[in-house]
Amino acid sequence: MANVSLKNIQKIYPNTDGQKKRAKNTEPEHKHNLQVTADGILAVQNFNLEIADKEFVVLVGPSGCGKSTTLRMIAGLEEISGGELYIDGKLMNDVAPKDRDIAMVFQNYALYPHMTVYENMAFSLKLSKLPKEEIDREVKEAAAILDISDYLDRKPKALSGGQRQRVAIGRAIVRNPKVFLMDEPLSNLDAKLRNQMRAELIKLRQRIDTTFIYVTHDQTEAMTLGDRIVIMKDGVIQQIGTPQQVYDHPSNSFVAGFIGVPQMNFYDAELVEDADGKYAVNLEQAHIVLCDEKQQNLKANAVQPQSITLGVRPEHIVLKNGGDNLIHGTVDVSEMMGSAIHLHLRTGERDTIIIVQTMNMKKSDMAGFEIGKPIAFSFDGNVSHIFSKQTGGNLEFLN
Amino acid sequence: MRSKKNPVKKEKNLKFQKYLVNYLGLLPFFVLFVVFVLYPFFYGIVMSFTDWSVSSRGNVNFVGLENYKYVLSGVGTSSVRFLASLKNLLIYVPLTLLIGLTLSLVLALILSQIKRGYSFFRGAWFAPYVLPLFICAGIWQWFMTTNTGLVASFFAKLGIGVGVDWSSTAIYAIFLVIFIDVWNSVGFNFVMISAGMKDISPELYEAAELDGASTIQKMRYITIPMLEPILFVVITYGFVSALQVYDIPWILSGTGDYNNIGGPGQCMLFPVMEMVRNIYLGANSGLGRATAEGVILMIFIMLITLVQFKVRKKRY
Repeated sequence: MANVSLKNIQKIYPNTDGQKKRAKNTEPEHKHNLQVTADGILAVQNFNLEIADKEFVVLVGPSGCGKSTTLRMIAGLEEISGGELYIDGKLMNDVAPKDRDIAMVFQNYALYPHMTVYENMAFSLKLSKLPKEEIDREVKEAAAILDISDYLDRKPKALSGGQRQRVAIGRAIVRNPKVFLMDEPLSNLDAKLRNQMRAELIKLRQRIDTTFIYVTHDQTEAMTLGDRIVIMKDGVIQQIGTPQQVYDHPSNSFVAGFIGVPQMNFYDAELVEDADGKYAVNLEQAHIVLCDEKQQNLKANAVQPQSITLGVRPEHIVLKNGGDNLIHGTVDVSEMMGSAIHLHLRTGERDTIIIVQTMNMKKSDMAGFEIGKPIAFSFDGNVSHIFSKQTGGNLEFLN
Repeated sequence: MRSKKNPVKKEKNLKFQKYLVNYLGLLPFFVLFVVFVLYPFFYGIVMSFTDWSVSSRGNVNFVGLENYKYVLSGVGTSSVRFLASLKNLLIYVPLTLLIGLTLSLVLALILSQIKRGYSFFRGAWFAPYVLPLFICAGIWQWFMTTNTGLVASFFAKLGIGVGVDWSSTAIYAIFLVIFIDVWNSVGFNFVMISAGMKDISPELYEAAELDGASTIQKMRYITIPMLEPILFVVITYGFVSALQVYDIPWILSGTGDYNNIGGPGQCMLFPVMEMVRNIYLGANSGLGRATAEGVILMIFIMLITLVQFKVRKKRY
């Protein structure tokens, strides 16, 4: 149990000599969207995060965003190029991984293939020269928590993916670490097992109340597991917040698009100020007046009427047969998901996805979404997200 | 359709045609294998029960186990020499394997920690392996020439072994053979072990590092156990080739006289050398005795290899 503090953490992968020579007289360039400077590639920059004791923080982002690098810097497996890392108030930049009192679960499990499950779990305790009886007790206790007591004398190759993952977690549990690091631990499991293990991780977290830092590219895992989520892109933090915060108030269009399934719909629209001084959005023929909260936020930022990117989540759009502020489209694809239908519409230049709940729907209506059928929909001012067209930033929360 | 072919039969026919091409491809090698390996192998076993010699000119008689009884009796020059050669193997084989393997393993472990110059060192250590063994032996015989050889004179300057005849003094000669063999083979073993080390997932080392393992502990608990399949191949191959040691001691002790092959007091006489001596000098049953010795050596090699496989099966 410990708090972790990352201050202005930076990771630079130095250029090779050849690259340095070439880079001397050229402008900074971007490689895979990462900034390249004269020193090298900036994989992580200005990473500031305070993680409280017993908090579960999830680093999430697309591949190559620097989330795993950050985790590995916390573990001590990557050198920290700049900034400071504190665990429990102690500076850890130059402390060896084994002395940081952390445990890590790797994406590919990293189980020792020549050791049995028991030996795998006992390895760290054996190295720390704990008495045999104590090792035995710790291992058996962890095995019982993870329901792997029956496999203790098996080798990893005789286990299924899910069982291997449990052993990897067990190996971390027995150490009773201050901080628990997990690097995409569920990404190698099939969808069903992943859901099951995710639920088990939530239960596990309640049992071994400690600080967790969890890396994933899967926003569902991030939303369901994290107390707070850190969304990263190109080595830079985009937003830090609780799942609810990042869902309700995404700081920019990237976060808005990344969090939520299916992805948020984006439209080119106009932010206008009505005669009564209220902000509204013009999209096609629709004129949607924003809710009071958004009015206040935009006013506070003194936002001028402008062309914007309007974001609306699929679950916030309603189909309408008539009325005002309708947006028209035609059905492109209709995906029956059971509890809902995901409707892909063609609306002008952009596509729109709508989630239509099937619970209160008549059977005859369900069959009614044949391809090419014209459909009208609308949404309210309280679910509209207003992003700057230039920067992608949420105009409500610029400061 | 006029006639319906049986589909099972048709499939079998197709399979046969498919495999026929494969077997035809193997045929040239198989013919060579039968003519030059399989036939001489069984012919040798049969002839070990006869009084066959270079001078018998087709007049070969079956003598039962006589040749085996003779070479193992300890009576008679050839038998004394053969038993001495087996004794030399008892020193040579374990030492060559132990020193050679330890050295290649240590070199591979050290070099795995080095970032620059890997290719250079790998090339440098591998270089002796490309030389034929008799050239290696020749080079070192030259280096170790009493007082004047490059290495011997250096030793003499340090006050070590002044006036010693390194390649024919009993106590030094066998170690010179071991040294040359290790010098020659260490590069090959090193490359094999290094390749095996590259196959070990870096995540395992990271996990071990987090588990609190030191560099030495990582080697002991991760690297060496993970290298087991490669080490098994290297050890088995090392055993088989060490038991057949021939070129180096032959060159070092070669005086042109077959009777003196193996150095004074048979200090570096090995079974294959004695077999060759028997072929040319054993006028009476020479070839029969040589093949009997060959069969005995083969039984040793097979037994040791079998034990290795058994031990391995038990552990893994």
